[in-house]
Amino acid sequence: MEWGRTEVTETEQKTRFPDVPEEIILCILLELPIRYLLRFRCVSKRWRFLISDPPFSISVQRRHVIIASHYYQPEFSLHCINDDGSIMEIPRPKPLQFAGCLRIGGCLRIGGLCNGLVLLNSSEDLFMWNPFTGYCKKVLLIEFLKQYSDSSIMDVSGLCYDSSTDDYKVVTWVRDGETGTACMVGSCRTKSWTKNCDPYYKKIESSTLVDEHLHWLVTESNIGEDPFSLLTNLIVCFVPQTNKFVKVPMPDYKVGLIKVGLGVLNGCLSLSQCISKKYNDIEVLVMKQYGEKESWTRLFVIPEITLLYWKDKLVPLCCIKDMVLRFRLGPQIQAILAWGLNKKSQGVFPIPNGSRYIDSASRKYSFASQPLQRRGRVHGNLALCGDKQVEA
Amino acid sequence: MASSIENNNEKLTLKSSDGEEFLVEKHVALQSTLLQNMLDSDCSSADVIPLPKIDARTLALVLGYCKKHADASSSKQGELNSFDSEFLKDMDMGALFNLVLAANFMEIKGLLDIAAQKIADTIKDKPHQEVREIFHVENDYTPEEEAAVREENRWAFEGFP
Repeated sequence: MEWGRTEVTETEQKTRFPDVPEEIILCILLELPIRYLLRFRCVSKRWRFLISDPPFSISVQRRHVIIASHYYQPEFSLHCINDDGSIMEIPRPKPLQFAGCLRIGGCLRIGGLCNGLVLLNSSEDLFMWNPFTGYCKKVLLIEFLKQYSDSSIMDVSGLCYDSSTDDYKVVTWVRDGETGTACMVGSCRTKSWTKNCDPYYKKIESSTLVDEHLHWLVTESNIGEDPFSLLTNLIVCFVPQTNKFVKVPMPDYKVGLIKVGLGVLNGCLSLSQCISKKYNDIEVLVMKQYGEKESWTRLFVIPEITLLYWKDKLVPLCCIKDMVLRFRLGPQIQAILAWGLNKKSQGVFPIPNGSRYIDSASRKYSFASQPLQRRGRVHGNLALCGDKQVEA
Repeated sequence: MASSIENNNEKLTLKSSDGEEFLVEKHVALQSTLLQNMLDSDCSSADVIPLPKIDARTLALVLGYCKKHADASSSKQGELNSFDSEFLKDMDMGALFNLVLAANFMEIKGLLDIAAQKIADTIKDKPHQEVREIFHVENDYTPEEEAAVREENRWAFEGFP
């Protein structure tokens, strides 16, 4: 019985290991990190099919955190935090490696993540990119927005998937007239933009995706200028099926609590808040039943976050073995804070690209490509976007 | 818990593919959804239940797992977790495969999960050629096709042949 520890010849292996049915192979593949899975596409055509995963059966249980510099710079890099907490650099998407795609001074930002696809906002185009398969394609032209607005795009704020129409939708904010702003929703399927009036605008940061809906922490109406103001008192969500914004029930308001971040933990919408006088105890809540006010539950409190500056955002990012929270926009801090649930202790992941401004997002791994491409449908405007299509 | 204590005295006999018989307490057997369904559908506990796909060595391991989990259910999860990792620690590939097949056949989800995880951990650093051998997969790529698939996923191959 000790042969497993010694050198085993191939013939011994062949006689020794029983055949396993495909359902068990799938169980095993489910447990593998995506990088290893990609390599095993070379095993056979059948394995390649399994690891292309059209019904998302392998994808759905995976989660990763992508970290990118906020703005393009020569040392621009992308990293992800794996399930085991290790940090790995991932290659940049091919089209963006060509200098021609990025004008000098142009910026590259993560505009959203959905189903493992990353929406990248270069200065003039929006790309959809799957970092784990290399799939990358230009999906929308920002230029088209000029039909509706004379001013440029202000913020690409989220990507979501509308399963009813099999369409990915991009939510952006643009200037509208002298003082106003408008929300533009772009459809990757029809390559068109729709204008929405936006009752909630206040320099909206990147969004949080739960149940196909995009969520933002905002200031109601147009009170105040500060995005982190004490009046940040509302969660709104965008419903892709209706193209409408609706309010999300909030936990009961308590005087002096500042909401410092909105994120996702274990599939639930999650809110972090701190007490205004101290700024260093962070309470993290989750909405256990989506849409039900009573289901907001305190998950834990992180005491004495000494790093915290009151304008920092502290966004519940993901659970791996420990809790990971992200900082954004910290003037001093370039790190991701990890909170150990069991040990009740803090740890800090340095941000590998040393960027002062980071974007990060936590979504599931997947092998998705854009449905338009996958289903081979042809749309009228596709040719306009076709010149730089690259599929790795 | 009350029901399992009540049934503690009831035992049933399982028979492995190589003819060995195992006397098992009923609450231990209930860890297996397959056996649970058989008992629910009125199989007498006096019968010997044959498990033609599982050899004695594997069945002994499976029952060891079931006993620990049946006796510990609702007690400390941490203790079970360390039992699980210890349980599989030095197990060789052949035994793991037998175990995963048995867990699948007997429908013991927890065991299936940890055994699959262990196999995944074992194969993840192996070259894909070796994975082919382990799972008896025939390489149906032409050399050109294989090179193309490899090129598609080039970054995942850093450090691998």
